[in-house]
Amino acid sequence: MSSQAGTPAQTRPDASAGTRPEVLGVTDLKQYFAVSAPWTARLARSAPIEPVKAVDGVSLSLREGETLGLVGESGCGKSTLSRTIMGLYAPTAGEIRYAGTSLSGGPSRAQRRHVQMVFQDPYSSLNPRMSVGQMLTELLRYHKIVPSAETGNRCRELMDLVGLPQQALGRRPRQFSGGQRQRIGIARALALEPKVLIADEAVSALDVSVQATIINLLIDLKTELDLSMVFVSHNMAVVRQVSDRVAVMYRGRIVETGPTDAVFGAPSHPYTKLLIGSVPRMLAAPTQTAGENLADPLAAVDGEPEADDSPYSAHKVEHGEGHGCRFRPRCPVAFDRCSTEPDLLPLPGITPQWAACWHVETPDGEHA
Amino acid sequence: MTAPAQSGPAAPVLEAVDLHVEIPLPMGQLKAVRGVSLSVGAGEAVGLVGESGCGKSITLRALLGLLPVPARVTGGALLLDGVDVLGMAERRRQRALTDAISMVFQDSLTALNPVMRVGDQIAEVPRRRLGMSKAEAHARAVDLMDQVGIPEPEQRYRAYPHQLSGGMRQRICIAIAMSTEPRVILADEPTTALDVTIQAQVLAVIDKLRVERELGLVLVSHDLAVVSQTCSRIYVMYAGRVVEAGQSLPLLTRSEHPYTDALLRSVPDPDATVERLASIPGQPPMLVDVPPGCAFAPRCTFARDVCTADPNPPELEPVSVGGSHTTACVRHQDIDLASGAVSAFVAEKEA
Amino acid sequence: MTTLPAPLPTFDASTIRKRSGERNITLYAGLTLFALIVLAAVFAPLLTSADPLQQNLLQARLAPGSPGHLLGTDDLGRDVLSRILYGARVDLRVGVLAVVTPLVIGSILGLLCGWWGRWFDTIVMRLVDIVVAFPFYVLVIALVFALGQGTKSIYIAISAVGWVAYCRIVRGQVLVAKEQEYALAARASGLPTWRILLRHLLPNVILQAIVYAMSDIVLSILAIVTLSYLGLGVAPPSPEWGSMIAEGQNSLLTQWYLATIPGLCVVVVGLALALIADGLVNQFNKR
Repeated sequence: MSSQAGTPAQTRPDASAGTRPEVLGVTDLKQYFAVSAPWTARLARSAPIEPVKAVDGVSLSLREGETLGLVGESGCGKSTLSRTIMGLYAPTAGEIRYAGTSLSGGPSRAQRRHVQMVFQDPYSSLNPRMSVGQMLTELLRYHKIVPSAETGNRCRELMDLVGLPQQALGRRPRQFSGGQRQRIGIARALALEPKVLIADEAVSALDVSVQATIINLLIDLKTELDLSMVFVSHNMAVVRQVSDRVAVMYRGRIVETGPTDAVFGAPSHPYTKLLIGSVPRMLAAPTQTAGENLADPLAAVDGEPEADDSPYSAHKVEHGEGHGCRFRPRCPVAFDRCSTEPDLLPLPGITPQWAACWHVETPDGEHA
Repeated sequence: MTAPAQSGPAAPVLEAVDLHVEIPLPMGQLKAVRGVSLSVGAGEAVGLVGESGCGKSITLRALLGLLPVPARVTGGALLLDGVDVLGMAERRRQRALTDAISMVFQDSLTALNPVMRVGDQIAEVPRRRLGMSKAEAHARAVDLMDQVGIPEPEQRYRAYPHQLSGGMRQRICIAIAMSTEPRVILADEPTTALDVTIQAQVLAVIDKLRVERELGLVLVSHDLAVVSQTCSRIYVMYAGRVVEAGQSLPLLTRSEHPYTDALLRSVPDPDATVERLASIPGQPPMLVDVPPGCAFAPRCTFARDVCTADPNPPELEPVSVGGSHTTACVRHQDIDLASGAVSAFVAEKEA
Repeated sequence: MTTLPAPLPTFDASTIRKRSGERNITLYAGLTLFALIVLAAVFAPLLTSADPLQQNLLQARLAPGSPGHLLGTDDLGRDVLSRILYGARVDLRVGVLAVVTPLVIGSILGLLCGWWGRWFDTIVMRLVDIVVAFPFYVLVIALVFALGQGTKSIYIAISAVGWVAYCRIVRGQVLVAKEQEYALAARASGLPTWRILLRHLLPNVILQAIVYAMSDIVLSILAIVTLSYLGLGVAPPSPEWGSMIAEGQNSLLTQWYLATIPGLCVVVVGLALALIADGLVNQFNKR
């Protein structure tokens, strides 16, 4: 797709490692949210108000049995992406495929069973007015997963699966701790026997030691149930522990993707390097990510998209044709070619790794 | 490379001695803080780590007299330059504490007044409390904004909090904390709500100010790595008590308490993967019915009868004679944590 | 699912917290008081042998405590106590029923507005704005006047005006609740919309509406009282607290009890309902 036709489509990176079929895929997915502005403001403006481009052309492919980590900071669109894949939002453009079948319109009831989600907040992700047993039974019945007579047994099996005692079925969420609630959330997701589990910041709201328990649980379940998983998180260390492959998102697009060890060990995209470098390490000197060498030093202070439209924000990041790479204002190695937004470009070597950076194709001396 | 060692001052600026805080609840008295002692000197950074419910945030608030209404300090002393402020009358105590100590909170958006310009919020204390004129206070605010690294402070003086990004807002909060010219800064998870790429810079700002102005810093966090980078001394809290304390390097590399050790092993490393993360079975106790002896014993693989024989919780003992590394584990000499026996914490994979 | 793996190490069932055991005194007190009032109304024939409609001019204007008339008699010799008790039937019935309909209609509309939004929401909310622009009594009186006197008209009038409050309350709650993760999870599970609305959202959003309904019952009773006072309510000679107050106001200085006692009854009902409302809030917050 030529760059004149709008934001260039990202070529679909194939995880050619392994020959298992694709279980979940998206192609050039876009999710734009219209900004609600009063009609008086709309009249006053000469140009139309740009929508918020939460997801701006993302392509992914998840193979059976693998875990894909999706990392990025606030505003990168990873949560919007995962919810769009779930069918909670209708995509603005692009294709979503469950097991090779393209979804048209929202997912059907049967298709809903294919992908399920574990949510972030243990305190609001369970209906406070339903007991655990009621919640699970409702799902089992509605989707006719087991005959009515068997729902009780299946509920008990689900509790065993996530390591909760049988008595939990009769209790309301309020009586459980955060870690226990996340287990219930996992049980709920597994009740529908999905092929793919999306964990949307599933451990971010938990204490460190509880986090470890849930991470171990997810890894175990993945192995024993042959699940495929998308693990969305802003915590790099957790993603490294859990994922086979990783995709790094920045402001709505994937900027780097590849096997976890390769991306973490030798990142190519400047944003990935910044991200991995910023993670605090035990007893290391405080990381210096100061404003030197940046195209826009203010961006060091204000890299977050949340205040983009504010008159006091560091910079306006423009997306789309003619505006260049979205990381440019913060990039220490931007050069003239960066005035065009790069696609995901394959890195040389046998491991399938991609980075959306012109330095991949034209490694100048600056490409550190 | 460890955080640079800071020379311990002769006398600490702020010291809590055997602090007890209780919160009355319908089901009984919640003993949120059960005898915590800590100190911070001029120019020194100490960290207070632990998981939720361990009492670290309440301890911090008690240091500033900012306890939420039902909670009360029920024992111990709070020494400011060696003088016990808890014995003072309420107003004098608040005055003394707020003159010397400032706090930076986790959520900058709710910590700022949404209908007041950020510059005015920084200028408020110099104007009202330090008696500066409007112009002087304005200039001071701009200067503070510059010191915390906000570009073009004159222009951003007039911004409202929601118009700034999280990183800038947190810098504003730090500037407000500095506006009272404190001698100690208390920071309650100041970077937890920030993106990781901004986090490092905000911590750097706090650290720079600490060094420049010889401030004491008490940093509360659940993130051991963050604390290890900034602080020279660390207190590890569990169930309302300090279970281990000492210089950062020895505490983190040769910890002498099973809880600290388990905590360290449950944190994933961004630079490596492990076969399995350590997890601690069970949950922290409800502090309404405090268990006898060591509160961690029910969850500890090394626990023996001696751990709960004495109903009083174990005191901090030095690990080696005369050393500053202390631990509340009565069995610390019998256990070799570094040997890998702690792998007992690692849950066995079921077949 | 193929063979399920052996369970992972679990923890104690005792780690799951028991329900907090504190008794909800407010709720019990309110319910008891209200129950007493209802029982008094239901068992009126057992509590008094006097006929509320029976006039006896020889026994008129007796003070409370007179033999045979615990609360005295009114201008026409009718026993006040029995009029109060039989009047309670009317007031309670109309008060509660006049709230149930707006509660149901308003909540359903509020649910749909909050969940669906778009043009439906716009239209309904503009309707709400129109109704709210009028003072409550002005509309109600106008409607009752147009529909004719009688309890049926009162039901219709109060329902037509009263639903707006419930619609707004429930809509506001739904706007928040539908973004909660449990609502997203319900959608993600593929449950049909009607089920999500009724089984998942409704129990979580209805509390404020029910609390409001408690005070609305008192408002309805006051509305009937006002309407009767204006001659638009229950037709005489049926006993009803409002008409009793209206009739008694002329003799406030002499037979103060004729107007005051029915007024106090309204207050007591209001108190009982307020206690129930508070108790419900406490109960909900405990969960």
